[in-house]
Amino acid sequence: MNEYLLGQNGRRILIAYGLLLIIFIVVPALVLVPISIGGDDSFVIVPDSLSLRWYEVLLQDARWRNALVLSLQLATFSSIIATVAGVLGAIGISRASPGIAKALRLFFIAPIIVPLMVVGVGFYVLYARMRLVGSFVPLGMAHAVLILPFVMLPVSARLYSMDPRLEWAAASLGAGPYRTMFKVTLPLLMPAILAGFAFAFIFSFDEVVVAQFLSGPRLETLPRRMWEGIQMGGLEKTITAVSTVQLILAALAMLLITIWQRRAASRGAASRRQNDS
Amino acid sequence: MTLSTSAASAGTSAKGDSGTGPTVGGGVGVSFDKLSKKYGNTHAVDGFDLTVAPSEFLSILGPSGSGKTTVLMLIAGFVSPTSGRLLLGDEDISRIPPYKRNIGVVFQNYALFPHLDVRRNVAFPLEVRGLSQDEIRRKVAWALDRVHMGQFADRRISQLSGGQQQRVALARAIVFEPRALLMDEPLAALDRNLRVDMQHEIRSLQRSLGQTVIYVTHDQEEALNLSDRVAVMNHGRLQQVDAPKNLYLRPANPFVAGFFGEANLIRGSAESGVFTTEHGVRLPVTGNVSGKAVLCVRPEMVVFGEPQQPDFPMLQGKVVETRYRGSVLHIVLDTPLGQIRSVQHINTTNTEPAEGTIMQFGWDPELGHLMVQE
Repeated sequence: MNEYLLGQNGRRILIAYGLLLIIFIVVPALVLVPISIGGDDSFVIVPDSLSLRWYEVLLQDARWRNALVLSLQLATFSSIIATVAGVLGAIGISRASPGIAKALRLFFIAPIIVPLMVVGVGFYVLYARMRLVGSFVPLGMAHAVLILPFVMLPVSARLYSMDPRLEWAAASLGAGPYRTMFKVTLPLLMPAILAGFAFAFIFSFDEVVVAQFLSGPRLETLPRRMWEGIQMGGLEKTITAVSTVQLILAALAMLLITIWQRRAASRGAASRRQNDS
Repeated sequence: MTLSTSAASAGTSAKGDSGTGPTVGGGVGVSFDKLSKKYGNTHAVDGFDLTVAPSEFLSILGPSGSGKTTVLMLIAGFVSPTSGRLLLGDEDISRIPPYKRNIGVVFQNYALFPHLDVRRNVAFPLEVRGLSQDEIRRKVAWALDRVHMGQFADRRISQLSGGQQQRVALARAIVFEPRALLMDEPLAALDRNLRVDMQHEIRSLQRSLGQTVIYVTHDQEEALNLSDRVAVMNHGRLQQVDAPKNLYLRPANPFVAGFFGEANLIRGSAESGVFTTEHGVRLPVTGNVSGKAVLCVRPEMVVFGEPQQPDFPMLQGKVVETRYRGSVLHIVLDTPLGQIRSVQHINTTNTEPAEGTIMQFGWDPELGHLMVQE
């Protein structure tokens, strides 16, 4: 289709630009993978010997292991809270009058617009007064606030494109509000909810700024531990292993989301066709 | 109720045991008592007064924005009335939530649940009502059979064509034996041939179930084809409720006259059997309307040549346009009454008159219809 719109040179330039962009995005993420399986201490991209010793360190070193477990717990806790609150919020907003809905949407998206540093300091001041710094649940709640938009955005989008007549149909068939919610609305929102949950989980798992403020001396999350590893005594090579694990986890999450959306697409085709008419 | 029992047994599959089909008790009447719905300062529905008989097929017909869909939403309970009452049988349902009304709804876009297969869609209202698995299986089979979708029970909704989705939606709306069935332009998304087929099916299904149906459409042909009576709406108000034939021959007002086919509307005033047009032409009329009035003459009632009625004046018109439209010839005349449109069936004897030809025309005064001007 573009054949007639672009000359030969234009095409070449576009392709080169695209490749450059891909390299620029992908290389920093992938460069740590070969380093992490290098046998020695040095940070070489093409290692002389292959070894999983840095992964062993990760599992055997109690500090690393605790950090990993803590981060997994924290991300699970906060993204469950954010998912429940975000789904309910999105449904509520979808039923509000347009003006109020617009204001509320902005309000709930604010956590990803306001700089993390500002939010971090704000929480720190509040939590310090209430003596909540360094405890798991308050930190999880703070994370839940931060990651709320990751749930609300996809769920709101899905709700917006959902035919309101599906809920009317359920009502006309005798389903009360709760049954309609659990049998119709939530199942139809499920792909968006899962995507939101995954994004929220990854963000919380990775979050270092607010965690730095609120975790106190006791709670060392994985990103914090990594941060420490970089600052103290040069580079700790275990970081490359941790990064690789994170990369694999994130890739797995994306894969799961894609599979889910593929599965939902065949169902969605029906509702989309209905919407078009 | 002999009709309904035979309908139920006819509906069951080859097993033929008449006990398995739901007992179809026929529909319940629906009455509107000065029902109104206001959005801000505008009346979407204004003082709707109408009684739909049990087992009647009534269409609500009107142009877009006439309030017909709002009427349907009021009956289903998706919106609540600003004033007035709505009765289902003897029960006032004006303030009852939709899920307690027991009214089936078929939506224009079918609104089938995309996450459930055909069987689960049809089973939905039965599961809600807590029926046993056995009963659910039997009733779902019965309903799918009624719409000839028995072999599609395990399909996903996305695997069905529009017509098939329409049938599933119909099955889902009748499977729980609703007290009335509402349909909101259910055939609008289908192509023409399929639409005509489905009209027949909907009609025969309604007859055999004895179901009360309220059918919303903007398609005159569909409404006339399907309905016992048609309620014509415009600007939120009921214009006329009548049998299809009367709507064409005896429209209540110029809007209804213009909505069903073409009409020559001649303004003037009437007194004791004589209609005087705005231009002073006097025409014999029947009916006892007096005062300002509009005379409606259908194009196919205009005849050419010598007037047959002795007291009918000699009217002359100049041909300004002729057009063949399928099996009929349209002729537009400039006359002392204004422009008059006529439709002649084509046969071997009539030829198309040249533009500018002066022609004599008239009509049977019995066929002219006089309406009070509002």
